[in-house]
Amino acid sequence: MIKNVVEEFDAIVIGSGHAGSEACLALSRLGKKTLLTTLNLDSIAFLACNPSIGGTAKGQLAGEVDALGGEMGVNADKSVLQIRMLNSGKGPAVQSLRAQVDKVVYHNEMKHTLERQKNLDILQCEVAEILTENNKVVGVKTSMGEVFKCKAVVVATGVYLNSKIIIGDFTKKTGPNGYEPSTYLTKSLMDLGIEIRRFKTGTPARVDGKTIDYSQFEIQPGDSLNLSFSASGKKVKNIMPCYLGYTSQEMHNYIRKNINKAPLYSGKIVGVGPRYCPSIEDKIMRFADKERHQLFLEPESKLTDEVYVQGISSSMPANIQRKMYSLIPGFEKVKIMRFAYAIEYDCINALELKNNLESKKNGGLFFAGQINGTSGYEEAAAQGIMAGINAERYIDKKPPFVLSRNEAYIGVLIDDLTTKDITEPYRMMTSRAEYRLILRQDNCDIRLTELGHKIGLVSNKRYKTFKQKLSQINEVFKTLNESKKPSELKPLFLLKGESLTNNSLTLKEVIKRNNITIFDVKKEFNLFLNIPDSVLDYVNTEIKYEGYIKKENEQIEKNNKTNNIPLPEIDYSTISGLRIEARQKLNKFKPATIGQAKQIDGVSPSDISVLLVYLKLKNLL
Amino acid sequence: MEETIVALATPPGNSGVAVIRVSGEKSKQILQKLIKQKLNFEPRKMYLKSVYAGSFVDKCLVVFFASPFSFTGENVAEIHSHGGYLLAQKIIEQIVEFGARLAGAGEFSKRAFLNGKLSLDQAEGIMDLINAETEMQINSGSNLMQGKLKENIIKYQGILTDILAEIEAKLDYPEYEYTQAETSNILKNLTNLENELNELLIESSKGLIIKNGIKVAIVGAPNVGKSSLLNALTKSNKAIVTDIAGTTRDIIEAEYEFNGIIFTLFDTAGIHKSEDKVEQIGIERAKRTLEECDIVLRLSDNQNKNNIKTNKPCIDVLNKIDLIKTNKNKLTTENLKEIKNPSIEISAKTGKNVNELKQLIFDLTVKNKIDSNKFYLTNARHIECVKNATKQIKNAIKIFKTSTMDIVSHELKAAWSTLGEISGSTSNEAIIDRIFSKFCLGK
Repeated sequence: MIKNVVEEFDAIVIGSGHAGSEACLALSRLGKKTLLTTLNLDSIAFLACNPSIGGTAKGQLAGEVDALGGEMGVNADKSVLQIRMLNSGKGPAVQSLRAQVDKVVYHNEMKHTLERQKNLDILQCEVAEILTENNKVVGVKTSMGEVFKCKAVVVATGVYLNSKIIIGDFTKKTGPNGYEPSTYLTKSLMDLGIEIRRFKTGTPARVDGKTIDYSQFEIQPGDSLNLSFSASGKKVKNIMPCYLGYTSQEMHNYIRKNINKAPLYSGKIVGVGPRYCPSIEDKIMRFADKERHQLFLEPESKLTDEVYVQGISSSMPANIQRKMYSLIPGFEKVKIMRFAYAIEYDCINALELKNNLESKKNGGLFFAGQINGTSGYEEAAAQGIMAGINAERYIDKKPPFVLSRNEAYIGVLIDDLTTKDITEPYRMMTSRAEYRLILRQDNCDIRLTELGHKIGLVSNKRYKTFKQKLSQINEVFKTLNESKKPSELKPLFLLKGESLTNNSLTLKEVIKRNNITIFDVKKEFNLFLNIPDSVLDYVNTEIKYEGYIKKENEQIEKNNKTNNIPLPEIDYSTISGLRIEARQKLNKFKPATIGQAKQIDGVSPSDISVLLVYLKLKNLL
Repeated sequence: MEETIVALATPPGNSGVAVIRVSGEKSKQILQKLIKQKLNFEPRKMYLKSVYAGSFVDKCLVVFFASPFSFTGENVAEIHSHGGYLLAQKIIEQIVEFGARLAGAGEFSKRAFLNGKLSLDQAEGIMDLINAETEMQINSGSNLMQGKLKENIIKYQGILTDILAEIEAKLDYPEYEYTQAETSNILKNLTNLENELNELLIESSKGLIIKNGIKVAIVGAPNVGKSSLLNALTKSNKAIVTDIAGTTRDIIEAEYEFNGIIFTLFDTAGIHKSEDKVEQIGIERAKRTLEECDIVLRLSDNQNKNNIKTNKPCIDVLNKIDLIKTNKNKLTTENLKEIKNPSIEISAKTGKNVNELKQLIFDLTVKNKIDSNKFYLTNARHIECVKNATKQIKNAIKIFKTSTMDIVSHELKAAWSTLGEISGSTSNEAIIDRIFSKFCLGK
C-alpha cells in the first residue's frame, strides 16, 4: 500500500522536454487527469542544442506529430526565424522542412500552451522513485517525499539522468545549460529491472553575434515559398538569415597540436557518442585529409545576440576553445558566451520496450525521448505523442496504437528502437526508411490526420479543413483528366523544350513530361485558381512519381500479409530448420511480429519461411 | 497476394518427360500466354497444346488446377514437356518473363503446407528443406565454387553500399552538395559494377556446366562403333551392339563421372541417308542432339570417314585401332589429316585409350572453360537474382541524368535487396554505417 498520497492522477509525465510536452498534452487532451513534473519550469521545451526544428527526416517527423494532433509544428510556426525546404533539387522523397526557431519564444509558447491546457497540472519537483505493485505502476515519489498516485507513468527525462558535462579536464554533474540533473531515478529504474546504459552527446559554443565579421561568411536566406510545419498553421515569414563559413588550416593545426587535451582522446569520456554528430576534434582526426570543414552560424533568438556555431561542437578545455574558435575566418575577434561541452547521461536499452513504448516488465510504465537512446527534438516529440496516446489506451484498456514502417517515420523510429541493438544515440535519417517515396513531407497530413482524428487528438475544426483539402485534391485530379489537342499544347511544349505531339494528351500525361510541372499547366491553361500551392505540389509529386509510388505500394502490400503475424514467446534454438545465426539473433531480439523478424540483420528470407511453417505446425498461424 | 512461382518438378537432366509446375494467381494467365490461346481450361483436364518459348515450339501436355484443388492449394499450372534439359529451361525462362519468379527451395511444399494441403508429419521435413539449399551452397566447404557464392555477392553489395553511401550522405546532409567530380565518380562506379555483373552472368553460363553436367554427342557413320564407345566409356551394356548398321534408332543416353563432373553421352543413330522411316526419325533426333550438346565426338574407323560438320567443340576419335595391325600411321593421317580438331585413337573393344579420351573431353569442356580461381553462379535462382539486380542498376544509370537522386537511390536499394535474396542480408544499417565511416558529417 502506498502512503502519504498528495493527489491522485490518471497519468504522470516525468520531464518537460520535447517528449514530455507532447506526452502530457496527448494525455490531457484525451481527457486524462495528468501531472507533468519537471526539474525546472524554465526548461520546458528547452532547445538545448540547435535552435532549429526539422531537417532531413526530422521535418517529416515534426509533420507527422502535427498530423496526429501534436504541438511541435504549431509551436515551431509560432517561433520561426527562417524556414527552408531542404533537398528541393534532389526529389520529393528526401525533401524536408527545416526552420530556425527563436529558442526563447519556442520555450515560452510551449510553456504557456501547457499552462492553459485543461486536465493538466505542472509541478516543479524531482521524481525519485516510480512505485509499482504486482509489476504495475501505481504512483511516483518525489525527492521531497511527496507521493502521487497514478495508473500510468511516462518517463521522458531526456539527458538529465546522472548527467555530467565535460569541458576538457573540467567536469560537473549537471544537466544541459547548468540545469540540475536527476540523481535518484536511475536507481529506481534499475530496481524495476530496466537495463541502463550510458550515452554521450555534445554541443558547440554560443558566441556573441556582435563580435563576428559577417563579411567573411556567405549569407543563407530562407526560402521565399510559403511554408509552415503545421497543416493548420499560417505561412511563416523569414526574419533572420543564417551564414555559411569554413574552418581554417591554422585551426586544424592548432587542434592537432592540442589533441592530447581532448577528453575523447585522453579517455575522460566513456559514454558512446553519435557518429553523425562528431566534435570538431573528432572530424579533424578522423578525416585528416579534409582541408576545411563547413560551419553554419544560426541565430538563437530575436531577444539575444547569441549565435549558435553549427559544426564546431567540442569538449576541449576552455582556453583551447577560445583560441581555436578565433582561428575561424571571421571569428578573429569573437567572444564566446557559452563554451562548447560534451554531456554524458544514463539512458535505457529500448529493447526493454514493447512497440507501444511500454516496459515489457512493468505495466503502465512508458518511456519516450532521449532516455530511449535517441537524439533530436523531433525524435523525442514523436515518441512523446505516441507514449502519451498509448498510456491513455493502457489506462482505458484499449488496444495499443502502433504505426508501421510504411505509415510513418514514427513507425520506423519506434520499430528500430524496440527491435534493434542501438549502440549510439539514434538519429532519424531518410535512409532508414524503406518507403520514403510514400513517407514524404508533403503528405504527412494525408497519411495521418484520419488516424489522429480517430484517436481524438485532431480537432473537428482541423479535421474539416483536412477534408476540404482532400476534396480539392480530388478536384485537381479530375481536372487533369481533361485532354488537350496538340495545337493547344504546342505553345507550352515549345516554351519548355518538350518534343511536340501529334495526339491529344490528358493534362496528367502532360505533367509526366520531364520539363513540365503542374504549375506550368496551371499558368498555361489558367486553372486551379482557388487551389493552394501545397495541394498542387502534392498532386504534382503523385503524378510525376506515380510509377515508383506504385512499386512501393505493391511492395508494402506484399509484405503486409505476413508482416503483421504476431510471434509468441518462442525458444528459437529448438527450431531445427533455422540457420544458427538466425536462431541466435531471434533469441536475442525476440521480435513481436514476422515483420520485425525480417528487419533483423542475419535473418534471411528463407528463415522467415521456416518460421511461418513452424507457426503453422504449432497451430499459431 | 503471393507471387507466382515456377520450377521444374521433375529431376533436372534429361528424362522422358519434364514437368514444369507454376503456382500462384497468375498461373492460368501464364499458361494461356504459353499456348497463345485464351483457353478457359477445365480444371484437372489434360490438353495437348503447342507451347511457345522463344524460338522453341513443343507439343506438350498442359493441365490447370483451380484453387484450392491443387498441390499447393493455389491456382497451379503444369506443363509436361518432352524431356530435355534445354527445352524445359527455355519454357521456364519464358514463364519468368511472363511474370513468375523461380521458386526457392521447398517453396511449393511450404505453400502446400501453409494452405493446409500437407499433413503435419509430411511437413516435419519442410523446414529443413527450405534452408537446405542455402546451407549446402553457402556453408558447404566441400564445394569450393559454391562456397564463394556468399563472399562474392557480399562483395558486389559492398560496392553498391559504397555508392549508396555516397548518394545517401548528401541526401541526409543537404548542407553538403554533390560536386561535379562526385557525381561523375558515382556514375563511373555504377557503370563498372554493371559491367562486372554482366561479365559474371556471361561467365556463369559456363558455371552451369558444373551444375548440369556436360552433354557429349557421339556421331558417326553407321557401324563405326558409337554404341561400343558409349558402353566402353560408361562401362555398361546399355547400347545394343551388333555389326548391323543402323542398329541404334533412337538416342541412347548414359552417364559417367569424371573428376567430379557428370558427362551425359548421347549415342545417336548413324547419320546417313536411310529409307527406313523409323531410322529417319532417329537421324533427325541425332541432328537435334548435335545442336544441344556441349561437345561432339566424331567417330570414324579405318573404313569410314566422318564428314559430319558441327560448330561445337569436337574431338575426332578413330576407333577400332585393335583391328589395324599394320600401316597404322598411314590410316590415321588419311582419316584425320585435314582436320584441326584434337584427335585420339582408341579401341572401344579393348578399352585402349578410353581413359585418355575421357581426359581429353574433360580438358576441352571443363578445364579450358572453368577457371578455378574465378567465381561462377550455378543456381538458376541466383542467376535470376543477379540478372534482376543488373537490370535495376542499368535503370539507375539511365535515370541518373533525367530524374532526381531519390529515385536513383530507390533503384539501387532495390538492386541491393535483390542481391540480398542470395546473401541473406536485408538491412539499411550497412549503408548507414558506411555513410558515417566514410564521410565527415554533422554538427
